[in-house]
Amino acid sequence: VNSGPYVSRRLLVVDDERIQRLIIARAVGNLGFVADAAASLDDALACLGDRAYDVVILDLSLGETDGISLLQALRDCGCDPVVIFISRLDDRIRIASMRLATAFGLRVAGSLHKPVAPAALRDMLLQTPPRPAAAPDRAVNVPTVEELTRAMHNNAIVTQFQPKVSLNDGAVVGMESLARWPRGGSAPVPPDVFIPLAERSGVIATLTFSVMRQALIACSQWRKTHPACSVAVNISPLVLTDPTLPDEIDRMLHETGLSPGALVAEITESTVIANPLAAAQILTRLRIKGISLSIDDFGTGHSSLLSLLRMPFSELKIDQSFTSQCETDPEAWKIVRATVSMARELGLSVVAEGIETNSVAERLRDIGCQTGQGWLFGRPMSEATLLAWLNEREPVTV
Amino acid sequence: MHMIHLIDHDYLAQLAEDIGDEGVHEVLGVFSEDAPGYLATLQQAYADGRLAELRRTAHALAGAARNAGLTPLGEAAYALQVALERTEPDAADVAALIRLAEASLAAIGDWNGATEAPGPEGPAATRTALI
Repeated sequence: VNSGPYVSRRLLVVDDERIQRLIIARAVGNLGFVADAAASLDDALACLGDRAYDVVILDLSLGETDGISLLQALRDCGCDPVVIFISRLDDRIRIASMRLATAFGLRVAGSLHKPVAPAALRDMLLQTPPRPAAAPDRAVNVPTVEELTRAMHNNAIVTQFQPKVSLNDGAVVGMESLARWPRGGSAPVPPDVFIPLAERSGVIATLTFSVMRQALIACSQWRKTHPACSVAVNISPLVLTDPTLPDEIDRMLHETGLSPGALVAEITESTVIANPLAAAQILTRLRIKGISLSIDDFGTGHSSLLSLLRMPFSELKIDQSFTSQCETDPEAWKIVRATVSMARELGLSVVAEGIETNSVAERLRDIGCQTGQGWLFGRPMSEATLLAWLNEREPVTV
Repeated sequence: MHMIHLIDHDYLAQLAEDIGDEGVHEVLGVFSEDAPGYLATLQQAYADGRLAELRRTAHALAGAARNAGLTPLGEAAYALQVALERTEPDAADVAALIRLAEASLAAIGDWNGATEAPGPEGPAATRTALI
């Protein structure tokens, strides 16, 4: 299939209204598209069976059926078309359809209200939407508990650091430490595979303390040149109820000569906290010591409003799934704005994760989000790379 | 002479910019071609009491009329479609819709005459007479 911008591309309009099909076919003809039209689902399936399409324009209401039932066929047709929805239905339905198609792995350029304004359609066709991130292949290399404990014993699980940056002046305000398991000769084991494995197999406390030790040692190095730069360590809910946690943290802070203010404990409620009272007790003790507490991946899993009410958090991290969609999904943006506003009311500082572009960084700064994290500022890196990065870095201003 | 604009001239002017005058004539031609079928189906479905068919046809007419810039007809057909989701059809509503559709078809005929062969008064004067 030719899909370059200067050769003719093939487009399918699926709409049960003849005049709408005609207007769209004529409008896109000026852009070098060859348009086919389908008046029903069956027509559309027949077209997809015959030809490869670069773009499919899909009416959500098709007589007694609907356009949603075509999404699976679009995913499976093998030609990976860009999808544009058209509908008279309200915005929420159009937005939900776009999300659904994205979840199907389709590239969605947008949705338009009917009758379709040809100029708006042309604008949409001139941009190619990004491909949704492919789901990682989980079939390969799922490690065993024995491999995990051996890797921990051999220090094969390493700690990397990703910067948190002030959106106002570009200053580096901290690092998040992230456990990584590179495996020589094969793909690294993703953390969302080996962390749950460590939780299930009872070695999560050992892993957490190991990462924390490496993180605090690294932090004591960079604080020589960046004294205000903290380090964040992820703490599993299963470790939160470990009564030795506060003393263990005390000991490590003492060994590394760091003040408690250098440490941020990030809590993701990946699993339900079995004993909320014990967890709240430990977290309160940590806060009293001067350690910051961050609620991680806020808005996902169990990281909820109830946790904010129960636990003495000082920072809220907006999950990357909201940040990454805040320019394309108006409702994601509303949730981000409301979250920042709520955090302000509660006196929490806010970190937005998953920032990849300057325009997203600017939007977030403009609504009062102080801190950002993401590939725009830096990917997770080793301690040595990080120290070099810190020393070379010119502040990013957004 | 109707006191409402049967044809949304702003819509058609914009459409002409987007798909050309020829495209607009084709759109109106398709509407003129399909509309008698819709009207016949509306009348027959009403007479037979086939409500689903009546609603479907009102929906199809609404879509076609709106896309052709026949805004009052599009809104009236849509109103009938929505009403049929709740209540029994009303003979007067169906008859009024059909009259509006026929007037709209006549307006298309005048519009075509005005744009294809402007008379001595020019197209603007002719269009004024359509409203």
